[in-house]
Amino acid sequence: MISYQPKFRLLGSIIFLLATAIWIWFSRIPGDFLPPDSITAPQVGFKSPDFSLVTLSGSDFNLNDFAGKPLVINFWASWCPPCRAEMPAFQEAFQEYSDTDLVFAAINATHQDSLQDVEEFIKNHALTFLIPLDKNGSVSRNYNVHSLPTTFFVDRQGLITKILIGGPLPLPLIRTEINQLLEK
Amino acid sequence: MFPVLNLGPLSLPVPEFALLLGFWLGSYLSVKFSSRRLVKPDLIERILWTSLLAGVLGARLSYFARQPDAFSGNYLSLLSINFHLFDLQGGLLIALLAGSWIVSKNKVKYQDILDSLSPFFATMAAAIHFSKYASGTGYGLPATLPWSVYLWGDYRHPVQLYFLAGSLLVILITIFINLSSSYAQGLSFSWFVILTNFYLLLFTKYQYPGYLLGGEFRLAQLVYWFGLLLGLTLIVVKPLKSEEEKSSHAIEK
Repeated sequence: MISYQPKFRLLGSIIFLLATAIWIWFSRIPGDFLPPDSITAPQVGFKSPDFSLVTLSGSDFNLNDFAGKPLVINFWASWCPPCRAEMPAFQEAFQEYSDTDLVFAAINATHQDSLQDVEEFIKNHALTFLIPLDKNGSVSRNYNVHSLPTTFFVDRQGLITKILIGGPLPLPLIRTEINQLLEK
Repeated sequence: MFPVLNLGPLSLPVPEFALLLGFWLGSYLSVKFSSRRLVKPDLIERILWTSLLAGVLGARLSYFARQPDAFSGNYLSLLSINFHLFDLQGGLLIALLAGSWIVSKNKVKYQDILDSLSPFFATMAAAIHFSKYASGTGYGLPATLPWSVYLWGDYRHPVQLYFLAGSLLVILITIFINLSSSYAQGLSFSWFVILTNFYLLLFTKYQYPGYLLGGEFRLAQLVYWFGLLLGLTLIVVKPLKSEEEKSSHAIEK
């Protein structure tokens, strides 16, 4: 298949390598380049979108109030089997890390859930972390939540470090992600 | 993007599913075209499936080895089907070792195996690019082009699709080389290495940068450049040497 003379092959390869090196030079990043951490988007490396909701207990939940603290934001619904299955693991992790400044928020997709079922589920499982209610679905939309459960891990700088879609999340995985958040 | 495909009550994680589909398709292509080489199709099949199983097991054990404390009191989680509880690097290493073990056990030349596996590697590369497109990772730089996609607050280069197009071309070329009658050992794999590193280097210009060297050079592009150098060395320097050897033998005669 390759029937060229060896010298031409060598020369061609050198020219090719030089051309690609020039391409690398032209691919340099401009000085006015905007890093992703200055943009708000529901993706790893970007700033987590801000929101304000009311929790199940009736208090206000503003994401901005937790600036500087690592966050675990879980989207769930009471009718979703993997969400139900992973809640005890979240509760266990919440208790384990209660001596840190870590914030847990399990945002209920109330726009597609029943408040009565949510209250019953929380009571039955003795969940003690914050349950903000996304009554009109705007936060789920802003966070691009396509499937429940979806969990976001946000560092102290407000940057999303990990998105875990689907569940149930096993406790070792939750612990690992939290440990990485706390180490940052 | 479309990280999840909702089919009734079933939520299918598209990025992970794309990788599994890529594995199946890639192994099919490699098995189908391995018959043209001096490698038996069932050996290719055995290498791939053993590597996959060893890789999955290795990835889970490697995750456990890295985070043993996280499993405290929850050792049953080692059996969890969760995709995120895997260590990719550890899994790849174990898969590579398992594959190499089978190759050495069967006393087959590595060049023949790598040639036969080239369509598999190229298909897996395509699956990874599609997986990134589905999950919205590895996104492009902002650009106002007719084919730009709106993603993460801006119109951007659909760079994952550029990569995907490159990898599809590499699949076709590796199959074409595997089918050609003028076979030179190691040719298919060498072209896979060259072309893959070439399109990665080319299109990385339009990707959102990761690690930078000196604040402006993309580390990924430099890695691909060295990959390109390696691939070219495989097809240029090695044949040059063998031809020099041939000519020196001819002079001796």
